[in-house]
Amino acid sequence: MKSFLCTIYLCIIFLFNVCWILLSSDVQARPVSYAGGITFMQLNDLERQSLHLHYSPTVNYSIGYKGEYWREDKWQFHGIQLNNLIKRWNRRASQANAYLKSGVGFVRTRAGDNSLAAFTGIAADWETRRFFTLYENRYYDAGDADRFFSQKARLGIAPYIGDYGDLHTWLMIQIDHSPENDDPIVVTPLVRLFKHEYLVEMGVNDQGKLLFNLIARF
Amino acid sequence: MKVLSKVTLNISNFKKATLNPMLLNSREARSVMNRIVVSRILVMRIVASFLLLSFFSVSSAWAEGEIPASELQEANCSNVINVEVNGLVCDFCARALEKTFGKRDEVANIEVDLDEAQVVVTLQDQQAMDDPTLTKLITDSGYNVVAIQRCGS
Repeated sequence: MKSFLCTIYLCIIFLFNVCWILLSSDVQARPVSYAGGITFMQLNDLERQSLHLHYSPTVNYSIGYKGEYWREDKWQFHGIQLNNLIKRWNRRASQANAYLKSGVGFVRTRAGDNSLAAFTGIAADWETRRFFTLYENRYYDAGDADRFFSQKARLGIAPYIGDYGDLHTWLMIQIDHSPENDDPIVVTPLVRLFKHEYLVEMGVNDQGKLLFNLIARF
Repeated sequence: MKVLSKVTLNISNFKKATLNPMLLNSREARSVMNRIVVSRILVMRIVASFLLLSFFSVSSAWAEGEIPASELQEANCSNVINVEVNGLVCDFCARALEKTFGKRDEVANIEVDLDEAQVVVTLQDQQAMDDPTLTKLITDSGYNVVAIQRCGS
């Protein structure tokens, strides 16, 4: 019963996000991509593999498919994710963003049971051409499969300042905090490389597990 | 370079020859004088060739009705718009500008300068783009316009 109410609550938040976007079309901001842009994100970290393909109809939000596979408990999520930009701060030498990310869909457990699932969380970043910081959290109600809160932070530095079109390199450290895990804090040093429309991240965490992320924007 | 060093050598020899009256009548002095004359002719030929080439290039441009350099610069300048932009810190994100402007028929080229926080938009010939359109395209890409500079403004 509690799980059902929680899922309903997350669905209400998701619908609230949709309404907020529709009502805030005049906000001077950018979503995760440009108006008309399509982004492909394939993320593999210590706990899960995920695929997110989203489209940005306007500069304020993006919507698309989200699929996740959680390795340890072997459950998968398929649904719709909505990302909207709460606020962007554009300065001459920096940019900062605050996003709200939410999704609804269904979870399929290892036993083959399906249940309604939803998640929501905020993400904020600030970057210059030299430094990068990020904070992100998420509350996940995966129905019968799982229910948890997690958060992560990132710090990054660019060893050199590349020009437009160059191969850009970032050295980053990611700290994941999942209070319900046996090891609640995991540290992952990683390298981010990007050139043109392609971005790759590779790292190994303090448990020896690989992180590999690929993002392409069209 | 070889020719120049040869000429310098010959001039020093010529000075030697003229300063030393004993050498003036000698065979060596005549040989030095001959070499100086040959070198000077060579230099004059090179200079003449350069002048001739310059003349032909100028006259051919004139014959084809090309616009003089100053006017040409002005014509190109009217197609170029410099936009100062805030938030231009990430190359990966700035690709949005290329995509957004690339969809417009009137845009010939776009250059992003992260150092100067500037976007240089080059329009097709006989095409125009007003400030509100330009600002909307930049905003749609996720940035804020600080200033728009056009030719002569």
